[in-house]
This record gives sequence, C-alpha cells and structure tokens, in this order.
Amino acid sequence: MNDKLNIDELLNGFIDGQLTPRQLTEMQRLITHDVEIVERLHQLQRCKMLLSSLPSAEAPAELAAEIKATLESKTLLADPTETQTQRHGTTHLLLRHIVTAAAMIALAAVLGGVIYSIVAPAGKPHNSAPVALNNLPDVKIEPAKVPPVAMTKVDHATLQPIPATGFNARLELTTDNIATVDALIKKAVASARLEEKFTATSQAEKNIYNFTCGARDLERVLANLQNTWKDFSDATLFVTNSPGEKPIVIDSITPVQIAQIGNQTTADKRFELVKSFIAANSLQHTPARGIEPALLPIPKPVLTSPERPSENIKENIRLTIVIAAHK
Amino acid sequence: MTERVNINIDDTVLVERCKNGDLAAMEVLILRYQNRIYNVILKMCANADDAAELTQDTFVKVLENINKFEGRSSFYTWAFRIAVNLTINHCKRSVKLGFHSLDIGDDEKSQQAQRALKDFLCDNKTPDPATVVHNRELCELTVKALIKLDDDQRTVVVLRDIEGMNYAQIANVLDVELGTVKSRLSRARANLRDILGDIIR
Repeated sequence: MNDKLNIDELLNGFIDGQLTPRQLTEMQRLITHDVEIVERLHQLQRCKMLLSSLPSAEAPAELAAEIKATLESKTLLADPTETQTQRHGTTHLLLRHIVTAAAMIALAAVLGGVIYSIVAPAGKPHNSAPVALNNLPDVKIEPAKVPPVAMTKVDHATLQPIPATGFNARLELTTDNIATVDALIKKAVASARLEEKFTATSQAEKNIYNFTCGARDLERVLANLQNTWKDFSDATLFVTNSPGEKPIVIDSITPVQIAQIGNQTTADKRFELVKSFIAANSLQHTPARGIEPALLPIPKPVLTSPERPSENIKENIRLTIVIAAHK
Repeated sequence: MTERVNINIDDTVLVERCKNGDLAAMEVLILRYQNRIYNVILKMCANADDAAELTQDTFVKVLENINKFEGRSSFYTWAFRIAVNLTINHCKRSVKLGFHSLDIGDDEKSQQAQRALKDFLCDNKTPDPATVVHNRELCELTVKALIKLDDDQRTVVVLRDIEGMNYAQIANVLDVELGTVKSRLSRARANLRDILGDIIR
C-alpha cells in the first residue's frame, strides 16, 4: 500500500516535472519495465490534462471598480477623530482603573491600620510624646534579666498583670514616729507572708527593711502604710533596674505611684511612668507631709493553701525601705 | 482591460507604491491578479457570485494590509494565501456547497456553451459542433468530479493544475510541508481518476 502511494507520488512528480534527477532516473527505469505503472501514468496524465483544459474564467469587468469603491468607502468610514476618541477613551479607562486600584489599596491600608491599632499586642511599647523634664538624670534603664515564668494555674479572682521585668527600689521615708511605722511595716510584711524574705536592721535614728516581693505583695505593704503616709515629712523613691546602676529619684512619691511603678510589665513602660511622676510631682512643689495619698485598694487575701499563688512566685521587686527620724 | 496592465513593473515596486498610497499602483496589482485569483476561487467554491465576492474581499484585505506585507514571500504567494484562506473558510461555513456545486455546473455550462457558440460562429478553424459538445461535456464532468473532492485535496489540485503553481509555492500558500502537498495531490488525482472512471481509462 505504501509502495503504491509512493509510486503514485513519484508518478505525479514525474508528470508535474517536480522530481529530482535521481527520482527521475528511477521513474524512467520503472516506466520502461512495468506496463502497469505506464498505464497508471497515462491515467494521471489524462486527469491532469482534463483539469488543465478547464476554461479559465475571467473576473467580472466591474470587479476592479468595486474593489476601489469598497476601499474608498472604508477609508471614508474610518474617521480619524473616531480613532482618536477611542484612544482617549482607552487611556481614560486605564487611568480610571489605576486610580480605582490606588484608592482600594489606600482604603485597605487605612482599614489595616485601624484593625491593627485595635488588636495590636499589649506588650508593645507606645510611642508617647516625650515629657519635658527638669533635671532629669540621663539614665538608661535596661530590662532586668528574669528567668522565664512557667505557666501555672492561677486564681482568676486575683489575676492581675504580672511584671515581666524586675527592678530595685529604695524608698526613704522621714517621720516623727519611727516606732509606729516600724510596727506597720512588720504587720504588712506578716500579712503578705514575706517574713522569710524580710530583713530589718536598726541604725542610729534609722530603720532599714529589705525584702523581695511581687507587685501584689508590694501593694499590700503600701496599703498598710497609706494611712500614715501623710505623716511622712519626706517620701523619696530611688529606682534602678539592677544593682549598681545610677538610680532615678522621684520626690514626694505616693503609695499609688509606687504600686503603679511596680505593676509595669516592661522597663520601658516603667521608665515612661517614672518620668511622668517626676514631672507631675515636681510641678506640685508640695512636700509629702500633708498630702492625702490616693487610696490604694487593698488586694484580696491570698489563698492559704500550701502552694502560694503564681502571682507571688514572681518576686522580682527588691525593695528597701529606709525610715529615718525627722530632724 | 488586460492591455492596460503594465507588465514591466515588478510586483515589489508596485507594492512599495501602494504602501505610499499610490492608487494607480493598486489598480495595476488588481488588474494583474484579479482573473487568476477569481479563477482559482471559482474552481474551489464552485459559485460565480461567491467567487466574485471572495475575490473582492481578497483584494480589499490585501490592500488594507499592504503595509504589513514584509516581503518574506512574493506578493503573488501572499495574495493567493489570503484568497485561499478566505475561500476555504467560506467553504467550511457554507452548508450549501453541494447545492451550489450543481448550480455552478449550470452556470459554467451556459458560459462555456455561449463561448463555444461564439467561437464557432466567428472562427472558421473551429472544430465541428460534435467536438465542441464533447469537450463541453468533458468540462462538466471534470468540474463535478473536482467538486466531489474534499477542500484540502481540491485546493491543492486547483493550485497545481489550474493555477500552475509548483509544489513549493503550494506549500508556501497553504503553509504546509512539501510532503503534505505531494500526498494531498496524489490522493486528489487518484480520487479524480476513480470518479471520472471510464473517461480517464
């Protein structure tokens, strides 16, 4: 079958004069020796002759004129202003698409910003405006290194923010009645169950108390002292993030301010708060004596179970209270 | 009309003039190729009206796109490619091809009869009427056999045996391989031989 097709193609190439010299030689050899191929060749030649002898039709006489008329009408119909308008329309549409896309992106950005401001993590420091301070010591507060807190079950009733970083504080109080204040401090320490981490030393006209506690314990101690706070002629807090660091001094400190400082979760927040207290207290220009401290809510009693609540495990505030006699 | 065509001007020159908006060059190109293109289209679509319309469409398309003609093939090949593509598309769209084929048989017959009668009356060397009738019948049978071929085979055989293109030109016009042209032509002639039967044998 394939041979027949190939021979047919060769025969057609032969009658059309499209064979290569080699194919032509081969074809001539076949024609000379094969009668059947000669017969097929004659049939194809007759077929070709019939087609070639078909009368050649001439195009209608008016064809050229019609073509020219069609071209002219198309040229007239193709109004250049229309094309220009179309181009302008396309450009305008593209511009509108771009503007719409830009508006959508801007809207998405604004919405994203609003949503982020709502759901942003609380631990991120706020970029508050700087507070103007007078004689503010140039102290860089570094976060204290605190071991990671293990997740423990806590009493939800007493759940309060736990400071993530610790600090050292020295509270110097001046009073006319050291004995009364001494009793109050020891009572507060007992109520806060801090006896094991509490040391008290007496010097000439000065008592010094050292203890390590958490923010809640600090609040309890301060709550016990707030009723006598107005009797202090001077109350000054020295805050450092680590021992040996140059302290920041806050004059006329109040129990509420101390508690708020202790409740800060980061060193940055604490530093911002300390700065604001320095500024606020310096503007008042009033001595500690006679100032009615804001009432500090007394924390709810701690559980009496053998295990202390988790909040108290976080004892990262090292407080030294110095009670000095007023001269 | 044919005498007006200046055969000395090369197609390339005429095309360049057309690109520059030379209407006279356009007219020369139309007159040069209109009969050949019309004849090929008529043999392919088998309808005189359709052939005239397709020829007109071909030239309009050619002249509208003359600026896109890059000269990679000859203008002749390019123009025939457009004509053949338009005609093949027309044939594929037309569901009345068989009906038109019979009609064109009548048209062709009447035209040829008129032409034969005219030749017979005007020319003393014209063969006798019996020969004219015989030739006319042969033409009718050949046209009908041609119409029975499928589009691809009919296109190849028309371009080869009626337009006289070589295989390479046909391959270029149809944008197919040379081997495809050979095989299509071979099958087309084999089918024609089978259709024409005793006339060929």
